Amino acid sequence: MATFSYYSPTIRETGILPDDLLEMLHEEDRSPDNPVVCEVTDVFEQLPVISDIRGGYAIFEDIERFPETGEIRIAGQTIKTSRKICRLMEGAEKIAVFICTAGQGFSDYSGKYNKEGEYLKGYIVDTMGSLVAEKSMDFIQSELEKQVLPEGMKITNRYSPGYCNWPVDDQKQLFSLLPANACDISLSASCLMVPIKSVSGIIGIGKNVRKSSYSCDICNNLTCIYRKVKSKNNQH
Amino acid sequence: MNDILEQIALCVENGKINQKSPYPPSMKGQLGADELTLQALEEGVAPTDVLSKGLIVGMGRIGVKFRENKVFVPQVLMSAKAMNGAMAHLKKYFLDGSVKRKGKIIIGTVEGDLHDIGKNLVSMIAEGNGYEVIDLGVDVPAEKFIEAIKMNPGAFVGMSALLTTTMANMEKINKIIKSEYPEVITCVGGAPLNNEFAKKIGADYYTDEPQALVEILDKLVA
Repeated sequence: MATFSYYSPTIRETGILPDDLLEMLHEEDRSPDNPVVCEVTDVFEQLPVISDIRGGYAIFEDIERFPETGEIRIAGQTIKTSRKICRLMEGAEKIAVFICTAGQGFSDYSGKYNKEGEYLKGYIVDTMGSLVAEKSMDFIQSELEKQVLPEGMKITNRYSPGYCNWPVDDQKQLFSLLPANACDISLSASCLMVPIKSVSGIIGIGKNVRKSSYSCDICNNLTCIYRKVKSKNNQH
Repeated sequence: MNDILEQIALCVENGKINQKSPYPPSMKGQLGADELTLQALEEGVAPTDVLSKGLIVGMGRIGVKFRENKVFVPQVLMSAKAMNGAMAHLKKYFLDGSVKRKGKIIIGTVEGDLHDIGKNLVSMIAEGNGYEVIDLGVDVPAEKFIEAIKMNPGAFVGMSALLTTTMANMEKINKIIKSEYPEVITCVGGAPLNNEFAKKIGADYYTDEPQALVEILDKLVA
């Protein structure tokens, strides 16, 4: 099994700011009386207690792409990433399989606030969990980039099951490539990662791969919160 | 009378909970849904009018704005909070039967799925539009839906799923419900679903946002 490089970035290292969440929530009114601003500020201050960030990646050299079928074989495991993702992996000499979690605390705190009737705060904690997972993975991805740079290699964007027509049940194959219970993330029978605020997927590595500014056009997830933020920004 | 009911509707629409709440700035210092509801009841406005011509009107407006992307989830949640505060004053009228709900809906995220934001939004908007909501939570198996249907004859059923893998569980649960209670109307929703899927699994309705569900329920109970 490939070596797993483990990271546990702090909130500060992820670079998350309250404004990132306010943008995700489409909140234009930043006045201090606005309950959304108050709750976001409060939740942001609680992040060191709520979050438990863990993540990392394993790099595989034994890879083969099948562009006609959209499949990629990694160390003997075949994943059906879709033709789109398979094409975006063109030139990859290695593939990093990654996972990262923001921690169980986001679901616990969100559930607690919802039970107490604090639905706005519950929702903000939940959404903050998604943001922390993605920003933490941004940090880990940049560490991967630094690691491969001395070999003259670059990396692609990251791609995850459930997006860009990659079936979510391929999580099983991805997880089988990683150490058991890596980062304490488990997979339910329905391929849901637990803690929920977790991400997984692949990143291509090679001298001739490309990282582009992410395009929502290649993804079929029409309700993704990031797509909504992007399309809103495009309107201005 | 209509003036105070319109003010209540405005408070719910804008998430103005009570006089103390400083938001929205344009209503700072004014009475909120909480005080205005009490005032209306003290002035002799029928509790059923407070509900149907004040609170429900406000919640309906925010539901439409949400559908039209004019507001987002946080604003709906603030409206729900204003609504809930006012509803507390109507509790005794629900208990003595002088105010009646439009109907009941049993709601849950299907077995295997733990996502609850969509389900919670539907719950709040349905409740705010005059329905009694029996929220079974997340990861709900068929037996739990069946038990709730048994306990609540005539209730509608709403099921949510956010994963393609749990859509299969939705199909299984819908089949069990329809085989035991063919008369029960089932509604489904969730990011990966569509009308075609709802038809395929034998669900009665699919909606992609909460206000559309309320409009369907309103037609069914009319």
